[in-house]
Formats: sequence, structure tokens, C-alpha cells
Amino acid sequence: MARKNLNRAGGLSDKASDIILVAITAAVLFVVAYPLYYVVVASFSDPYDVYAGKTFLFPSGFTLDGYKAVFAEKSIVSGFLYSVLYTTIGTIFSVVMLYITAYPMAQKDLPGRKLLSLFFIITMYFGGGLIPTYLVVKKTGLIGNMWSLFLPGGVAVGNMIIVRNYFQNSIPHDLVEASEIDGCSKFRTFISVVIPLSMPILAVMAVFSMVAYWNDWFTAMIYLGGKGQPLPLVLRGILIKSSASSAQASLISGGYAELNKLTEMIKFCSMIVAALPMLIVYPFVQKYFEKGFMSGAVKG
Amino acid sequence: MKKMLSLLLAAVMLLSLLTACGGNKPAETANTDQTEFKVVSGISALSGGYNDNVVLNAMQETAGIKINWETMSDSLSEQVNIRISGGELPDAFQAVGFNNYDLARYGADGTFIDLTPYITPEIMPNLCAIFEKFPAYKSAITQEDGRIYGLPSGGRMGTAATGAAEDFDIGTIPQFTMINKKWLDELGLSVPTTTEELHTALVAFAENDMSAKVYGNPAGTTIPISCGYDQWCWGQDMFYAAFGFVTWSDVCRDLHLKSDGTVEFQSVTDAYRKAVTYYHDWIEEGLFDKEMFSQDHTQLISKCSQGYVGVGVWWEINELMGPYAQDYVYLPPLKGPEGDCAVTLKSGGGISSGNLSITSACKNPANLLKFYDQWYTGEAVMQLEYGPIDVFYTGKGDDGMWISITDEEAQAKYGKSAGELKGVHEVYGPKLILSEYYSNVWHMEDRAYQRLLDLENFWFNYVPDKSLYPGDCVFTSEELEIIDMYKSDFETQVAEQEALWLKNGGPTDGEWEAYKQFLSDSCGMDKLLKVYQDAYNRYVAAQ
Amino acid sequence: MIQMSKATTISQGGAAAARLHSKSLGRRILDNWQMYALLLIPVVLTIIYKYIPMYGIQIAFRDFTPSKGFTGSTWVGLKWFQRFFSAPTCSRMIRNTVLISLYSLLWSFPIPIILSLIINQLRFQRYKRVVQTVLYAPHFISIMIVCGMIRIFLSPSGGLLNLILGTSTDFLTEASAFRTIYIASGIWQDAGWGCIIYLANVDPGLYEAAKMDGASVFQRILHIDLPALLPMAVLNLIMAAGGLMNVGFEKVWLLQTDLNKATSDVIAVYVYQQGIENAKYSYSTAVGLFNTAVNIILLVIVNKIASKLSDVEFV
Repeated sequence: MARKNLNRAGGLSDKASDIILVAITAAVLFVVAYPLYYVVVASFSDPYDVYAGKTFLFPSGFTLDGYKAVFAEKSIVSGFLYSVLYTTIGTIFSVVMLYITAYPMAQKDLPGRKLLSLFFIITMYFGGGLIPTYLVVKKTGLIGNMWSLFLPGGVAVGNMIIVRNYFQNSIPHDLVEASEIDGCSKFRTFISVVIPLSMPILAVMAVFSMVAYWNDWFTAMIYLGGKGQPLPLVLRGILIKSSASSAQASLISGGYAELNKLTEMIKFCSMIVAALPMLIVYPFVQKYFEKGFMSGAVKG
Repeated sequence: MKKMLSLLLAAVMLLSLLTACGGNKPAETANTDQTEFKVVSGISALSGGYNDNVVLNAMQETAGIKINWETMSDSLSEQVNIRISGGELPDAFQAVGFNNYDLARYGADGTFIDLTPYITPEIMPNLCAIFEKFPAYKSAITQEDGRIYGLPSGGRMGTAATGAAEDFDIGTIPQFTMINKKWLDELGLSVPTTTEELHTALVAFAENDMSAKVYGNPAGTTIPISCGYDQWCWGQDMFYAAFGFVTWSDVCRDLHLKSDGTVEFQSVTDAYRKAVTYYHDWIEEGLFDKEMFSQDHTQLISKCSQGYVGVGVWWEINELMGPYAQDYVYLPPLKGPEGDCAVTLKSGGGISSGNLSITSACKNPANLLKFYDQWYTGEAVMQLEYGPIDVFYTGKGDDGMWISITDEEAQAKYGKSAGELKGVHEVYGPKLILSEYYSNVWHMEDRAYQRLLDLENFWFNYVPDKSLYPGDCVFTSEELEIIDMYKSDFETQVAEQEALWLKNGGPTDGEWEAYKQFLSDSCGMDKLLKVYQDAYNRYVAAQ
Repeated sequence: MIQMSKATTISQGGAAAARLHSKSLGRRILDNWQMYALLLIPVVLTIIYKYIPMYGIQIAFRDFTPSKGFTGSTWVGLKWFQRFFSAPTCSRMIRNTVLISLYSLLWSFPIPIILSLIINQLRFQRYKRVVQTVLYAPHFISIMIVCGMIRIFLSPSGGLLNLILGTSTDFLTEASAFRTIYIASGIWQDAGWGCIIYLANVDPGLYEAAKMDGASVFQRILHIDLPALLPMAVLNLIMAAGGLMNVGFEKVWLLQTDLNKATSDVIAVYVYQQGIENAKYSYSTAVGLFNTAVNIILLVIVNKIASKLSDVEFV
């Protein structure tokens, strides 16, 4: 590659680029961050003030009632713990599934590969629906069992394709070849070469799985039958109870407006409570796997 | 190679193990003395379950049975459909909310049994007594094949409880319009009785920015009228009374029973066209809240409780206006430009039979029904609705009627409001609350009582024709097919068009004709009308 | 260096091709037994939990009643499809669904790419991390809250947007504004999240080399980042094409008003609103099949185009 002159037309100096980049990202940051700030402010405010547009900058009618109502629920802690359990196991399960599917699918010389590919992709588009799936889950004895949250999901085909393509395009092939020439079986290559080099995509898939499991309440509700409720389900229960409460009140003792207010507050607060763990965890995951990425590259 | 084969074998064995784990059902023995029953029931989200409910337990003892409750408060229809699909029928479904369609189908294929052989004085004395007195209730739950697939359920908080001659449900006029008397006084205006007068008042409200002037709110916050669009108790429909009608109906949007026994859809009448065209002008002038078509009730309450609003619409004044409630009075239905002033009543509700059905899995329905028969007395149903005696009811008054706990007492004793207490104790199911219970058995809550008085003494003065399409009409399965096919489309199209006209201006002659044509051709309007007419005719004949 | 990795890619393909032709089928199967072993569990799980339940699709052609079961419900052939196509606003629904998808694709597809290109070039590590964290945070806000906020921000009486513009329009009642609101809020919520997949793709080691060669930021973007991101971008594009008809129900439903139906009337909400308890499953299955059919056609087309133009394939 010929040496490029730093000041050639069309290229900016590094410093000027920095300024532009920072300026752009700062602007984007502000536009994105403001509504987040707004939600936090709203969770501490009187909802009627929120809807009247009084909380654009600071809380109005400051109140902790929303959070109190959320944390008053006894099963918040157990909900949290169950969520951690399900998310951890689920993520490990999902990522393993993704990898053991994507790697074989990435082998261009695998007989029947196109067929298998179609086999998986069809499930992305066609599905039997809730009731048949439930009946099958029941038949396999998983109702009420934690594994009903993971097994029926099988392989997340969309993600699997992403991982497969990553294996095909982003793993340096000279390393793979070298390993095979050394006499390693494909499996061994997989374990000692491909996986370590795929840390970035593994991190991404881990995050995707984590978030999906963390937020899921419907599967838990349908298959677990009320036991072992994860956090989103607990929070949803709180919200439903609150709306039930306000519906009653309108008939009997008045106070509909008051209770409706509480319901609205709970909406904001429970959402923050549900999202916070994920928001906290992600930067750590990212940091950890970035390190993995670095070490992988150095090996190359 | 060997490794792969053994893996495969293991997988197959695992699979067969799993499927075998489905379990063997013990052989079904004919059980004519079944005293233990499994019931799947809906339940309040606030409740702790039915196992410890004193009222239910006492009833079970009397009937000599035991019920194993399985309750759910979320996503009921999914869970129930899954149960039925999987063939896991309990002995009965309670408070799941089956509609007529469900009942017809499940009855036809035998999932639900016919209850008529069991509604006899020996097995269900209470219910029979009620049917004696009100035969209409029995026909309301009888399907077209002459069978009954669900026990009756319904509540009627009606004007009869206040001693009125005729009994009308509290929800026949859900929208009470209200106006800020203080602002009127400040401007030297009296409470409007015609649309002209209201128009003047609203313009004055806006021009003088009364919200800022009288309440010290920021400038420009005055909203002359705030309401929603097509909402139950906070919609704009009440204003159409100035053209002689109000468009609301739970049976089918805009369905109206005329005094001569024929039905019509109000949304294709000339009066409707005039009303929509007229109020468009008001919307243009900014007299209606700009957000009326998109706001939700929380936004409405929020504005009203800040004192921004001149005219509001809600179930009652206090809840909506909050701290400013004492400044508001009822705004009566107004006389329109052509001198009309008539409120048409809202039909709806009625007796449903979707709250208790017994399935083919039940071996001895008679025993189970003996339990449910106990629900059909005044004292029983009052406890099922609100809570047990000694918990929710604090004693009998001098008139022999039970007194409900007040908020203060409830807070003191249980740390909850009376409403929450009800939420904890109430039982969902086939409860039939007759109007007479409110005059004989227990006092209804004060606010409800007051509202009924207001209805009787104030609002009904503006209802020249009290015809109501009955909520208890029974439809044949062909009719149900037609309703199923067209009703939803019809309602959404009318709603959309009404909003567009209100916002953009009333229809030209061509547009009006095209609209009516469209409703007939694509939305089955004529077919729907015929269905409702036929059903009504049958209902009348059966009386 | 870049060219060299390209060369190895090609040679790898060549080696594999060579392998393909040199051995018999049986030999290749045996050679790859480890791969098949790995695939065993995923395949079995997929068969059990995805393929077996597929018998449920037949209710698109039946009048499903839970009590009669799937095979026992009456066969009604194309009744639900006929019903769907004779809905009063059928063509409008289809048009709106397609338009929302297309515009979403148009606007929200490039943005995560551009964002990740920019972020990758940031040299201040701490700032970079802050940017990433803040950007993906909106993804966690529930749809209900997002729509609640939209209402408040767009409110004609004191909403932020109206305050800034000095107007008092109720944007939620303007049909022309609906798509913009829908797409803009979608970008806000998911652009940062969409970056994640792109940020994983570039090897910082390449930057060092490029910088030593004296490449400017812009040139780095052009010659390093873009080619690295391209396969992922193409893949995303194909998958998005395969999801064209899937405009979800919840967000539209929360933002829909009677006055913006001209653009907000979409298939998913319509099917939900039909709310016909009895026909809910059959009807929605039938409509779902129709959507799937359209999606698949699009998928095949886009996939063919993409595989001709690049190295990326979906199937």
C-alpha cells in the first residue's frame, strides 16, 4: 500500500476527525439520553403532573409511592432470584445450542447442509401456535419444570445464522487450516481455535439471550403455572393488582383517581426495576469479552 | 461409528421415557356419589384464593361437598382454551367469561352439559324461585335449542332500589356532563340550556382564559371542553342529545330501539349527520380539547384535576375534578339548533350465562348444583360480591338491612380501603344481584345511591323515550355467525368515519350516500339490522 | 494485509471445494460424524418442539373449536382467507403494513451501521463506553412506556414538540405523521441495540496497521470497517426482507387513533381487534399464513440477489 499523505484532499487530520466524531456522538447521546432521563424523573413524580407536561426537567409532586408499591410485594426478591437462575441457565443453554448448530452448518463440505439449513429456517416462518406447542410440552412432561422455558425454544435460528456466518467470514481461515494440518479433528479445531476466536460474537449472543430470558414472562406464565415466578411476571402481577384495585374503588369508596395514579406510577417504576439489572450487567459483559477479543487477536 | 449409534440409541430411549412419563390415568369408575369436585375459576388479582373463603366453605359444608379450586387471574382465555384442547376438563368452569358463541358451541358438542334437568325445586330451590318471579331471566339464558348451558349471572344496580317506579340500570346514562359554575358566575352567565348558550359560555371561557384568571394556572391553559372520543363514561356522545339522540350501546354500536319496536342504527340517520357537521365547527373553533381523539383517561383526569377544564364528562363530578369538584355542577343535555333535546338510553348488560358451566367430566352435577343454588339468595350473593358478614358487613341497621364497612373502619381494622377489602374477598362467579336486594338486604354504597337518585331526578327528565334494546336477547347460531362476521368491521368503520367528519367537516350529499352504501355493501349493515330485529321480535314474543 | 485475508478466504473455499469433489458421499458423511453428533440435540429438539406442533397450522383451514381439537374441527377450506380479503379495508391494511416495513427498513437499517462506524473510530475509550451504554439503554424500555412518552411529548397542550415548534397540533391524529412517529421512535429505541452486532465485527489490530500507513479516519472507515461490516449488514438485510409483513401489533395498537387509521391500519391490529373469541386462532393462523407466504417470496428474492452480489447467503 502506498504511503498516503496525511493532508490529502478528502482526508482530515486526526484531531479534526476527533472533534467531529465527538460532536456527532454527543448530539446523538443527548437526543437518546433525554427520554431516559425523563422516564426516571417520571417514576418519582405524580403521574397527573407527568401527563400535564410538568416534568420535562425535574420531578413534580415528588413521591416514592410507586417504588414503595413495587417493593412492598413480597415476591420481588424471589422473583429476582428466579430471574437470575433462569437467565443464567437459559443463556448458557442457548449459546451452547447456537454454537453446536452453527459450527457444523458452517462447514461447506458437510453433506446435506442445504437440507439442514432449510430444515431450521422453515421453523422461523412456520409454527403451530400456542396450543399445539403447549400440548407437546405437556406430553414431554415439562409442564411446571424449569426446562420448559428453554427446551421448546430450541435453536434461535436467526441468531444461529448470524453465528454461522461469523464462523464462515470472520474467523481467520489460515488459523483453522493450520490447526487441521496439525492433525486436529474438526471438533478439536472447534474447541481450541474457533471458539476462542469467536469471543465477540459469543458476547453478542450471550447478551441477546440474557435480555430475552430476562424479559420473558409469557412462557413462564403458561408453562410454570404460578410457581417459580420470574421478576417480569411478579411485576406484571403487581400492575394487575393495582389496576384491579382502582377498578374496585370506582364503584365503592371513590378514590378511583388516586388509585389510577398509583397504577400509572407502578408502570414506570416496575419498568425501571425490571430493566436496571440488565443495564448494569451489560457493560461488564462487554468489557470481559472485549478482553477475550484482544487476546484472541494477539494469538493470530 | 459406534459412538454415533449409541448416542442415537440413547436419544431414542430418552424420548420414549419422556413420552411415557405422561402417566397412566387410573381407570374411570362410574361415580354416582361424587362429592369432590374440581372447579377452574377466574379470581380477582387481589384475592388470596378461594380455599380459605369462609362463605364458600360454609356453602360446601351445607351441600355436603368439597371443591378443589384452581384459580387464575391472568390471560384466562388462553389458559382455558389450552385446557379444553388438551381434554383436561374440570368438573366446572366458573367466572371464565364464556360468551354466547362459546356456550352455543360447547353446548352443541357436549363439552358443557344441559342444566335444565337440574333446575328443579328439589335440586335448586332458590334459582327456581327467582325464575318464578322473573321468567325473563330464564329465557335470557336459554339457548336456541331450548337448553341451558350456564347458570345466570348479572348485576343490576337499578333505580328501583331508590324506590322509583321503573327499574333502570345505573349505567343507562354513563356520561354526566359537568360545567364549572364558578367560571360561569365570574362571567355573569347562567348554566346553559341550549347549544347556543353553551357556545357563548365556552367562547367566554377561552377568551378570558378562566383557568389562569380564576385558578391562577399558567396562561393559555384553559380548555373549554375536554373529553374523549367514543369512551364509555367520558366520550363526546352526550353532546349529540342536542340533536335528539345519543350514540352508545353495548349490544352493537349505535343500535337503537325505537318506541314502535323497530331497530335502527343511529349512525345513518339525518340527525346524526347534522350533529357531526355541527360539532365539527366547534372543534374547528378550538372549543373541544385538541387531544380528544387520542388522549387516555389518565390524561383527562390529569387536566381536570389541575383546573384547566370548563366542561368535562365523567361518571360523576368528584372523581374527575378532584380538588375543584365543588365548583362544578351538572350540565344538562342541551336544546339543539332545531330545538331537539333527547337522551336515548344505553342498552347493555343483561343476564349472562357464561359464569358457570358444568362439563361432561362431571359425574354428579346434581350435588355440585346444590352448592351453586345457595348463591341465589340475597344474603349469600352480598357476601360473595363484597365480603363475609363480620368482615365487610358490620351489622344490621334498624331497617333490617346490612351495613357495609366504611373506608375509615376498613383502614383501621385491616389497613385497606373498603374497595380493596372487597377486592380481596370477592368471589367471581354466577352471582345474580336483583334490584330488590338493595331495598331489602343490604345498603348499596352511598355514591351509587346518590347517582341513582341523580339519574331519576335530574337526567331522566331529558329522556322522553325510555325504550331500551334488551341485553338479554338470545341469538340463533346463524345470527351469531353474522354478528361475528360483520359487527366488528361495522363498528370500527363507523367510528373512524365519525372521527374524520368531526375533525375535517361533515359529509357532502354524495359522501353521505356513499358512506351508507359502503356500510351496507362491505360491512353487512343490513344483515346486522335484520339479526337484531329478529332477535328482538322473538324476545318480545317470549314475554 | 487486508488483501491477504481475502486471499486465504478464497483459498479456503477452494480447499473445501477440492474436498467436495475428491471423496465419495459415504466417506464424507463418516468424516463429518462429529458434526452430525453436534447437530443431534438441536435437530431432535427442533423436531419435537417445532415440527410436531406444526399440525396446528391446519386450523387455518378449519373452524377451530378447542373442544373439537385440531383434527376434529370442521374443515372450511379458504373461508378465513376469503374473509380476510373481503375485509372493508383489506387493501389499505396490506399497503400500510408493507409501507411501514419498507420505510422502517429504509431509515432504520443504515443507522446502526453508521453509528457503529462512528463509534468504532472514537479514540477515547471511556467516552466510547459511555456512548455505547447510553445508546442501547432505550431498548429496555417497554413499549407501553415508550408510547406513553410519545403521547406526552407530542401532546398539543404543553407537549415538548409543540412547545419547540410553537404549534399546537395533535400529531397522533394526523395520518401523515403516524409513520414518522412510528419509525422515529423505533430508531430511537433500537438503533443503539442494533449496533451491538456490528461492533463485534472489526479487529482493532487492523486499525493500528492502517494508522501506520497514514490512513485518515474516513479512509479507515471506507477500507476497514465497511468491508468488515458488510457481510453482517447483508445478512441483516435479507432477514429484514423476510420479516416484511411482520409489523408487530403492540406498538401500532398503542399509537393508533381513529384519525390516523389511514396509515396506521395494519394487519396485526386488525386481526387482534376482530377479537372473535371463537375464530381467533383459526383466523389469525390463516392471516399469519398469508403473511408468511409474502415474507418467504421476498426472502427468496432478496437472498438470490444477495448471494449473487456478495459472499453472504441465508439458506
